[in-house]
Amino acid sequence: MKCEICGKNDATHQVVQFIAGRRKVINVCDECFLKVGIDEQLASADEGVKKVEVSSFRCPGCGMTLNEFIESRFLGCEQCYEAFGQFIDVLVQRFQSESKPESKGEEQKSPEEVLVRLKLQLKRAVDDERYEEAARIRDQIRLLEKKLRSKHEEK
Amino acid sequence: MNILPNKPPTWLSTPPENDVVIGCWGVILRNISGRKFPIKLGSAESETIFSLFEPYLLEAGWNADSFTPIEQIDPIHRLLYYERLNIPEGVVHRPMHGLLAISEDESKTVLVNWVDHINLIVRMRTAKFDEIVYELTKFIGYFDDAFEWAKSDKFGYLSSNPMQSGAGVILGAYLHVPATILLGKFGRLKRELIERELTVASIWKMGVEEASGIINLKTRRLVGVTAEQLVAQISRAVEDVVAQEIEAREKLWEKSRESVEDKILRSAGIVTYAKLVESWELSTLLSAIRLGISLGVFPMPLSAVDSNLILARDAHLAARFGEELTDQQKLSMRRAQFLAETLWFS
Repeated sequence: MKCEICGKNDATHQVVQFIAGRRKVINVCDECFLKVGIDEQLASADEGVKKVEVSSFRCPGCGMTLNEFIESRFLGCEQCYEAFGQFIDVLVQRFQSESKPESKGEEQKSPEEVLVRLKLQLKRAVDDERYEEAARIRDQIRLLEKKLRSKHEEK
Repeated sequence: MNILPNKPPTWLSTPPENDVVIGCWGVILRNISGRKFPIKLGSAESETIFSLFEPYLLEAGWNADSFTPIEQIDPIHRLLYYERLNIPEGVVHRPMHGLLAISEDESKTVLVNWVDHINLIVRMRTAKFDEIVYELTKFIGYFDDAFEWAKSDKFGYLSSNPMQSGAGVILGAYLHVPATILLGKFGRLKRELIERELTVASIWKMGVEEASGIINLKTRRLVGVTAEQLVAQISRAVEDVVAQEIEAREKLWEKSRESVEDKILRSAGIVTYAKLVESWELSTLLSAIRLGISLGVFPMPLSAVDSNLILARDAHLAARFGEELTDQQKLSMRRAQFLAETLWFS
């Protein structure tokens, strides 16, 4: 398997991280593994591929972590583009190239996206004193949160 | 910076070239290679970057004394600048160690060390995007020989905000398309524009402007395209939107004159007699009146409405009348009073 950051070398490390509540596995080569500073938590070897569970990717140039970037949406230096290359690719492609952003149906959205949207709807309904609708949305949120909790527990 | 909350920006006070285009804008952004981006800069590093830029800013006609640290601007004025200058909304809440300078006619704004090391915004009343890009590149030309900009083969000019990396230039236009909305054709138009890799947004991010027919159309794909391609792309899109809106107005006036006049006159009635006008209502009411002017219902200049779109916003009213931004009831009262007293006498 090729490295998911540079796309050139063979992957030698499997890096596991929880990003925005979702488990993300990335296969990287030695070179990219060293380039992207990471806070190592747990490592194990499996069929020649090192499995590394990390608390955060860290840019070697400015020390910005991936979580910091996701939270602020700003990068700390030009090296961040290499360090978080894979995520930036996805973000830029999604934002700049997507031809129909709002055509994404509810069924295509991740449960986390639906949850965020429902919470915004709830706030608006409460602000507008539409309490019946608010109660309906609140029930939907509870149901979804319950599903998400059990999904994470399964993992 | 001496911006009066009772005076509209000079560039917006002139008559528009056509009834649909309210104004156009362009941004150029650059970061110095090898330096941390503003979000990671402390105040000392930020000062160093500003001092590196200083001689070239002067050459470009911007004296260092005209720059104000954003942190030192009170929250009401930060919001006021956001309302009238199309500076990013984040400036209001996250000043970083940024500095802001505004040209006298408010057609140009320079931000140093806010999100990117340097950023110029140019505004014009007419859809002359080639002129906007000329102004942007002329400005950055003063710095080009002195600095190596952060750039990559893959992403182009690197911005601290990866969504803005690429050509290093973003172009946009404020357009008024109420007839397209009234005819129920806005959804299709929006989808077409999105398919053409443009973004359709509301101006003050309240959402209501878009629903009322005032949209901010801007370039979205920036990676792998040049500034010239962006000019061609947005110019064509603006021309198409203008043509579609003019056709929609003619159709609407011909087929549903009474109901259109009713909508316009109801809005005029509210603006004239209401005791309270809430901020979310402002764009909807002024959009209807602007349509009324275009259709010849009211004999007054469009610039009167365009000015009030800005002057009757929250921070402008708060700064002008000394009200608290949090006191929405008082601001609604001031807005109603202000509109009734000024709109018809412009």
